[in-house]
Amino acid sequence: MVLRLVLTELFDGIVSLPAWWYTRGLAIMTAWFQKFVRDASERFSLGVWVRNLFVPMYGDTEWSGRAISFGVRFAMIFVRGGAVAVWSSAAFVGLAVYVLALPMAILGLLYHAVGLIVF
Amino acid sequence: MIPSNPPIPSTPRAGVLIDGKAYIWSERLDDASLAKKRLAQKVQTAVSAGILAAAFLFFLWFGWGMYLYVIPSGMTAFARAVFRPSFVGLSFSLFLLASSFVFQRMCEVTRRKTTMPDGTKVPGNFEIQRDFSPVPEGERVNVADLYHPDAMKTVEDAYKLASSFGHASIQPLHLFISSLSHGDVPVVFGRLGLRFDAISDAINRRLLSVPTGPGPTFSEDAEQTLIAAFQNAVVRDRSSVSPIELFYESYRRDPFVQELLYDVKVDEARLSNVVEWIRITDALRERYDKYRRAAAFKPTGPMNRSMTAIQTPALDSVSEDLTTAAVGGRLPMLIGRDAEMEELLRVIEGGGRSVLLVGPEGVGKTALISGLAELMVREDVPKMLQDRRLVSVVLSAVISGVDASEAQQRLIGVLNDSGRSGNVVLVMQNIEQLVETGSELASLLVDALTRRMAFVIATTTPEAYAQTFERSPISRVFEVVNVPEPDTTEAIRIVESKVGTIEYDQNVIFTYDAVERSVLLSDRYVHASYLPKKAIGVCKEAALVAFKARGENAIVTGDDVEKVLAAKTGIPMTQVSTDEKDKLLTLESTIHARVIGQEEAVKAVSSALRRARTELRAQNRPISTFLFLGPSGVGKTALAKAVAASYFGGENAMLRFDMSEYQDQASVYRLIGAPGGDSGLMTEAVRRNPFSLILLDEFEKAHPNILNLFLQVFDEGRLTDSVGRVVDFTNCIIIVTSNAGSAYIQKAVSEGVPADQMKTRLIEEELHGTYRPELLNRFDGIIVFHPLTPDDVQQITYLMIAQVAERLEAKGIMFRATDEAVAELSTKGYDPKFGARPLRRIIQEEVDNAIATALLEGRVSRRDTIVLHPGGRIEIEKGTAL
Repeated sequence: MVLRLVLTELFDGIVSLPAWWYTRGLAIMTAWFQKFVRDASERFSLGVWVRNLFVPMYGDTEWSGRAISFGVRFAMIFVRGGAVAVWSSAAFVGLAVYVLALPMAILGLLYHAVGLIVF
Repeated sequence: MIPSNPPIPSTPRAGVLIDGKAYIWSERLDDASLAKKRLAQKVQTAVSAGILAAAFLFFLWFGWGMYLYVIPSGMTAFARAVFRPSFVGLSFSLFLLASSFVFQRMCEVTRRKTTMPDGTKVPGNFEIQRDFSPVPEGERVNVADLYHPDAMKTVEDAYKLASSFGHASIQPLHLFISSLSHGDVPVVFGRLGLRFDAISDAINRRLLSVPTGPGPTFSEDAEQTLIAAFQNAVVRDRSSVSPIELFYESYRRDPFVQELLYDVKVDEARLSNVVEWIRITDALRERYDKYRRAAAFKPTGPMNRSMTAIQTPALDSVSEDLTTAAVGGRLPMLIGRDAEMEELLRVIEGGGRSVLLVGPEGVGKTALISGLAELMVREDVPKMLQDRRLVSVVLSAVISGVDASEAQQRLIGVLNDSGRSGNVVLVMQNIEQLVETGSELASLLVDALTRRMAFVIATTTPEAYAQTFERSPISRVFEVVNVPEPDTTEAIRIVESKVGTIEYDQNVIFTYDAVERSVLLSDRYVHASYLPKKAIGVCKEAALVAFKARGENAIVTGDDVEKVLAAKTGIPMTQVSTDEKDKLLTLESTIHARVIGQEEAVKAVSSALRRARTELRAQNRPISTFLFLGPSGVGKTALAKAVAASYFGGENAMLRFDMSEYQDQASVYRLIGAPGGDSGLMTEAVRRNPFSLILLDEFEKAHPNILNLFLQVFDEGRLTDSVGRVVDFTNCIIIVTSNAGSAYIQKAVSEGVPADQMKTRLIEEELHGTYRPELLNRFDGIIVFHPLTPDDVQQITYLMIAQVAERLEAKGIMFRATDEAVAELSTKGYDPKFGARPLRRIIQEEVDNAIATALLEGRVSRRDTIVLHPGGRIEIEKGTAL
């Protein structure tokens, strides 16, 4: 009885893993990726800087101040955007690893096991 | 595999409809399925542990292979290990596969099959339905899927309990009993100061009376309880159903359980408040976690995230940044006050006008501002408050220590900084300080706010608002948001949220009784301050008292709170002790030791005091109000003094007002205080001694306006003094004495008119011209004092002689009077017009004078006995020599 239950549990797990990996599992990882990118954007205030592109910094409303502000903000949007991109890339790598992990494991297992047995 | 549940029936017995879905209970529960379920869970755990161990071993194998073969040989060996069949590659693939399994199982364990409906979108009172029309397949949800494992264990234990007793059905009682050992329910019992032993016998008897039979299956009541627990969790926006919801709903659905807890002094309101206490603690923890995450994004300096702000040196020198304090976790979290916060945000969003929070001191205006700071940190506020900081201006720092022009310069600096920075919301607490200091400062503020140079959230009290703002231009630039005193239920919940800090600071544990009493008793007896502040203050003191008395981990009980409040107010609040019980039951004889005769009066007063002490009286009126009628010298004042001594602890607890001194209209102000002048004699005395006896002598002589004033006191137990303070008379006994109708009383007594008839005529005819009927109707008792008989006067003489003896005893000298001497004194001291009043003078002249002379002549020394004979002659019996 116990053995049957253990085997059923294992068998069900093995059979359902690929389908689960690319449906619910992928949904979980995608949600994680989106949250990661959103948090990065929030952390580097990218949205705030874009919204205030034409708002003078430090309350300096002179013509020159506005011009300098625009320049600095423009540059900062690039810098902060770059930082968000780096964070997002790291998260994307994580997502890509997830997508590839299961086929890699199965193919690797088959390749190495068969290779070692045959050769 | 866990055994599958029966299909959810399309027409269930009971359930709730939310968003078109039917939530019903459909969980298989019998011995076989429970055993299978337990086995399946063990297998699942074992398989998960096996896979985890395998992943770990494969990783070790891979690491070992890398260490032995790959790392020493460099990149070439690595490429060979990956691209050619190898044990290193095999072990890595196995590790990856096992890890994938682990990841899947972890996700599945934490995943719920169904999610709780959104509690914020569900009406609070949605009903459990009994008769369902058929529900389509996809729209039926088993609420058991939303039960926390602890709650499921509770349900299973209820089944086992019913099964072990051979009961035919599982009832709410079984759920109640099984919930007692799960989740936070033991904490509820702890907070209530209850032990299971106190109810266990009754529960056992009840269990033995439940019908037995094959089964057990869920009764309809139990099924409804299970759904109600889910409903309760939804309304409170919980993430799952926990044992505490099962506990509460099984209590609500079983009259026996309700009676059982009622016997140990727990009613539904108390239970609900304790359950809420546990939830508040959980909710605060969850809210704090979310808040900390949000706080990571909020800047703490003067600069905002968009860097549009500027430095604000003038403002910084006289202010505290509340958003920075909130980010640092230094501000208290707001509990309750949802309506006020909603109104505050609506006003801010609506017109952008500055806001004035008007509420008495201690009701939570500062807490509301702290709550706003928290919302600003989370950026969960209207757009005009986003990416801004909340800065509290310390007004005393602006106005103190400088002349008017310097203060103006400081205020201008603050307003300029705020205006130019553009990211500041100013807070000015107790803004009346600014207005009272000078009209120039107020004008400056009005000007700045009119020009929208600054946005201010100010606070003030209703009194200050009425006196300072209402007719001033400053009221035009503010939108008023009232912050009233919370009701006792909300105050209890606020105090519950604060008690955790007090417990941590003092190392004590509060029972619910202590929290409840701190609120209810301070609401009733402390009128100088407001809830919840006064109750929190009492809790802090009670914690200190308990810690000092019983050391660390002391349980703070209702008695501790009562002791603190009794010490503060002088009002006895503790339960009636055995000694006091005896004292109350024999009150008549205690009073009669000082007052002779007047049976009706003594009995009426004693009964009133017993009612008051056993809490049977109306709480919103004075303890009792009596009108004592009768001629002079019959014991009206003596009875009042005796009551003050026996119930209030001493004659000095009697506040005596001779109303013949209040005959003109202006004398009202002497009693309650003149507007802008001195405080009133009576209101101030009662404010300082709320637990006292008020004696109003010769009431008929007071001005009619004063009599009208007392209509409110007798009826509502309160009076507003000249500065708007409400003075509480609900812990006073008011005794009014009057000589009106004395002539009739004497005549009626001499004619032998029955007491009832005499009283009726007095009220209907004799007092008609003196007191208005509505005033007479407000007395709890109109008591007629009968003229004293010669026998009464003789007994009073004995009492007075005893008082003389008591005074001499202090000097070590004994004193007694012969019966003949007493008879002579009583004859001389009685006057039909003035009763026993001349007696005191006669005793002074004939007894005290003779003793004083003997003392001065040195004829009397310690241990001697003075004997009084008729004619004022004294004889000295020499004491034995040492």
